[in-house]
Amino acid sequence: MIVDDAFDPVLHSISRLGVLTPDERRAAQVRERCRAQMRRAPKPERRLGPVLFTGLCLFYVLALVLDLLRLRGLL
Amino acid sequence: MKGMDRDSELALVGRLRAGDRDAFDAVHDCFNTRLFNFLARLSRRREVAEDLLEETWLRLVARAAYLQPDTRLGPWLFTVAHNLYVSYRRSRMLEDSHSAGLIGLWPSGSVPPSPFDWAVASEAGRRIEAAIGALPVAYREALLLVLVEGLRPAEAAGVCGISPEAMRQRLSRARAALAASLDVDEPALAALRELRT
Repeated sequence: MIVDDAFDPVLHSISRLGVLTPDERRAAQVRERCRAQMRRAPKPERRLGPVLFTGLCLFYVLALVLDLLRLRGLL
Repeated sequence: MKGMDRDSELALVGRLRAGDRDAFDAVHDCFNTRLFNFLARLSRRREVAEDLLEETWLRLVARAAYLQPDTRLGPWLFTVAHNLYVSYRRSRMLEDSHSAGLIGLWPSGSVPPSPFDWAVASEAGRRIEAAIGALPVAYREALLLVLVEGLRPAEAAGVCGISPEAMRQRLSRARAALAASLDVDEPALAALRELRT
């Protein structure tokens, strides 16, 4: 939104909004809880699915090529 | 992200993905107050805002390892907070048979006594808080995300799950509604802006 701040009383009013402060003790508790959860969280497992799928595809293509070469008498 | 350049933000995302707890602290320091302000003004209840804020951080921790490397933390966190607030409202609407006033763009009618006594110092501040609080939720969230939190309208549209065009319309209407309740002559203001361009 392109607004000229100097001529915008709405923006001027909004800039006078106070900052609401969250409960510090609760914020500290939440932070600790989150840190503890991060400590416990297992690392994301490596995805074997795509690796296996790619390997099978490569194996299939290689087998096709070998068959083709054998049929042509090159092997 | 206010007060942090994009490179630092990307580095922080990388560290979060790797489970770096200090990175979490840095994100928490940067966004905790901003998210609380957003949720408190959206819900107009301190305890609700505190609960939703806690849940937002727990969601970040649960999803940290699966964040995309190019995640923009601000929009991501505000999206989670916004969605949690929407879920909260839905559950309240189911509980409250007199909740017709909360649906969609419909103004909530009588605004409950403001919980902002604990925060608003000046008369002007009280006026603007009351005016924002009286806006329909859809307008209020648009205004808070763009004009208060400094998100780009396209980012705010993503947070609210609407198109950028719909966000621009909501913003425009929100500004007009706010100007009306603050006795600001919005048409004259628009004419003045046109003259200057």
